[in-house]
Order: sequence, then C-alpha cells, then structure tokens
Amino acid sequence: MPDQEIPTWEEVARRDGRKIYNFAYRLTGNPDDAKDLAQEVLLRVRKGLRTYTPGSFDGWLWRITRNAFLDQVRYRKRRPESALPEDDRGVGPSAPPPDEVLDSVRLSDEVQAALVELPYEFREAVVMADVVGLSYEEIAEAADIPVGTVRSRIHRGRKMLKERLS
Amino acid sequence: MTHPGDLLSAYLDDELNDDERAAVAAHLQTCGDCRDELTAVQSAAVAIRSLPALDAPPGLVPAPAAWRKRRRWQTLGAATAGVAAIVTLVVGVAVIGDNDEPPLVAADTVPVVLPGLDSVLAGDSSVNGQQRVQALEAAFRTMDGVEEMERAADEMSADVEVMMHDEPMKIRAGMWDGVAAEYLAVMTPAEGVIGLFVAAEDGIPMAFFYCEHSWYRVHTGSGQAPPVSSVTALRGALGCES
Repeated sequence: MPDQEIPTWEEVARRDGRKIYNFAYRLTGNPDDAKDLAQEVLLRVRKGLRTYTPGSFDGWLWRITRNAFLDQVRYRKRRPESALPEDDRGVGPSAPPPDEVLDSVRLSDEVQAALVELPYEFREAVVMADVVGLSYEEIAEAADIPVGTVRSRIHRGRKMLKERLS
Repeated sequence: MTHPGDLLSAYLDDELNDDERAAVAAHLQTCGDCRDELTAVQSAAVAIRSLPALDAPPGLVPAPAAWRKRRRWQTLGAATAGVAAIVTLVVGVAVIGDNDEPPLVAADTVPVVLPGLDSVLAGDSSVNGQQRVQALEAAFRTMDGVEEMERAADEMSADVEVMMHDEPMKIRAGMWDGVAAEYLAVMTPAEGVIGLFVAAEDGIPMAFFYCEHSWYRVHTGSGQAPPVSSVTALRGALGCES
C-alpha cells in the first residue's frame, strides 16, 4: 500500500487479519492463543489508527503485533497454564484421509513443533520472513533492530530449524 | 571473502545489494561447506513456507458493516436496570463472601445523581460522557489476592488476561473511532476511572478493567457479557484499589 494512505480499521482487519492470525498461530502453535492474539492486535490497531501518522504501515502494524505477542507471553509467565491446548484435528471426517494428506499433516506438525521450540527472537524473524513474507527492512522496523541483526536471526533461525527437522 | 554465514539467507531471499550478492555468488563457486549451508537454510525456508495458510477463525475479520450492527447490549442491559441494581449486585457479592461483613460499597463513593446504567448502555443522548464514566465507576468500586482471583475466574468460567502492560488506554466514553455507543465508558487510570464494558471486534462482549498497572480483559466462555458482579468480584479478588 502507498505510505500516504491511512486505512480504516476494517480495511486492516480484512486485508491483514488472516496474516496476523497465521503469524500468531505459527508463533504459538495454538489456535486459541492465536485467535486471542489476533483479536488483541486488531483492538490495538483500531485504537492506534487514530494517532497513526503516515509512514511504513506494515512496519507499524507488525510492531503492534509483535508487542501484543510479547505482552501476552509476559503475562502467561505470571499465570500458569490452566489447560493444555485443544487439538482441533480430533474432530474430522470418519473416512481416513489418504496417505499423502496424512503425510502432509504430519510434516506440518513436525515443522510447527520445531518452530515453537526456537528461541523467540529467531522464531519471530523466521515467521515474519517465511510465513508473513515481510522484507528484511520491514522486519527490522517491526522488531526495532538493525537489518544486520535481521539477517543474522533469520539465518540462524533457519539453521536451528533445519537441525531440529533432520 | 570469508564464509558469508548470515548473508546466505539474505542471498537466498534476494536481500543483498549487488556487491554483496556478487561476492556471495563467487564464494559459493569455491566453497562446498557454504553450498551445503545454503541448501540447509533453503530447505528450512521451504518447510516453513509450505505450512498451509490457515483461514482466520470466524468472527475475527468483520464482514463489511457487520461491526456497526453489533452495537446492542441486550444481555448486559437486561441484567442491569440501573445504578441501584448495580450497587445491589456489588453488595450481593460481598454478602456471598461473608455474611457478617458490611456491604463493601461505601455510600460516599456513589455519586448522588447518576444516569441509570441502562441508559448509559443504550447510548442515551441525554447522558454525557462524564456521567457515563461516573455511573460505571460507581458500578466498579470495590475491593481484595491473586489466587483468589484465579479461583473466582474459574468458578465463573471467565477468562482474565492482561491486555496492556504499562500502557494506559485512553478510550473516550461512548466513542471509539468516532462510532458512538460501542463504548460504554472510559478507562483512564490517570483520571481515576476504573473499568467498563466494551464490545470486542468479533461481537463477544467483554469487560475491561485496570488494576495494579495492568489492564485486564474479562470474557465468559459462553459469549455472554460478563455480569458486572463477576467483574467486580474479579477486581476485588485482585486487590484492586479504586
């Protein structure tokens, strides 16, 4: 989007809601946490748009998203988990899915599990780059770090992930 | 050049300038270790990029104009006929806690003339922002430990979360983003306002309150608005000072 345009909240929700949810889901591996986080982000976007001054919108949006996630993590540390995440895949069609579907689900699960084990900084950088599709510049702005650090985190994050997957 | 290391992922992502890219490409011609490393990070990137894109859960992303239709507060409105009813609820909580305790709402914390909470919730134009704040403030004035709050939250199947740490929210009574009546009141700690109800984007009514430098968001598992009494009890259990 052109930097000069300030979108309405609804436009942001429609355009980026799904991306925010996917970011949150890949970061947490948990659909409930992801939805909560995405809602929180949209709430903050809605509030923040009133004082938003034109600049890099994506940098702004993903900074909000990141801060919301970190606030959630900070809070969870103080409050022990009451329940294990539910597994939505328990409910499905009775006919067994074909093998290739199972394989792809299994592979996704492995990648997701490896992802959530990465230290936060690396997980965040990798998810922003490979799930959301942000440029290094945008990641630098969102995470408030130099581009050199972005390069390093993405590279090390991918290496760690590769080690966990082999 | 020395081994490019971190630059390999940037090379893969086409995030290098021309000189860097040329240097990395030249190095790769001569270094098998770096080619292996490039292959490794590439396969990791492919694995992540192959994760399926998930649909947003229902209600997260509003349909056009859906937001504006949700400015209804029947659940809450029906349960709260007015400030008097609210104060009764608050006292009721205290009485359930301990029959011998005096009511926990001191008379002098309740402004003498307040609009009924129902007219506040309905966005009655005769009720100004200040009056809404006062009415809701009065409704939330109560008392007292964290474990107690957890237990209370479980009993009410309410979910309590910190919304914003160290970042007081500035929300004006009845106005958010220029849309009236989505908001029931304001929460600005600096101005001494305690808490209120807000609609969430997906239409699930929530309560918000500020306590001990943190915002809390309360919603029930059922999707119904949390009763004022529940929120008051949670605040109480947290030991919030008004």
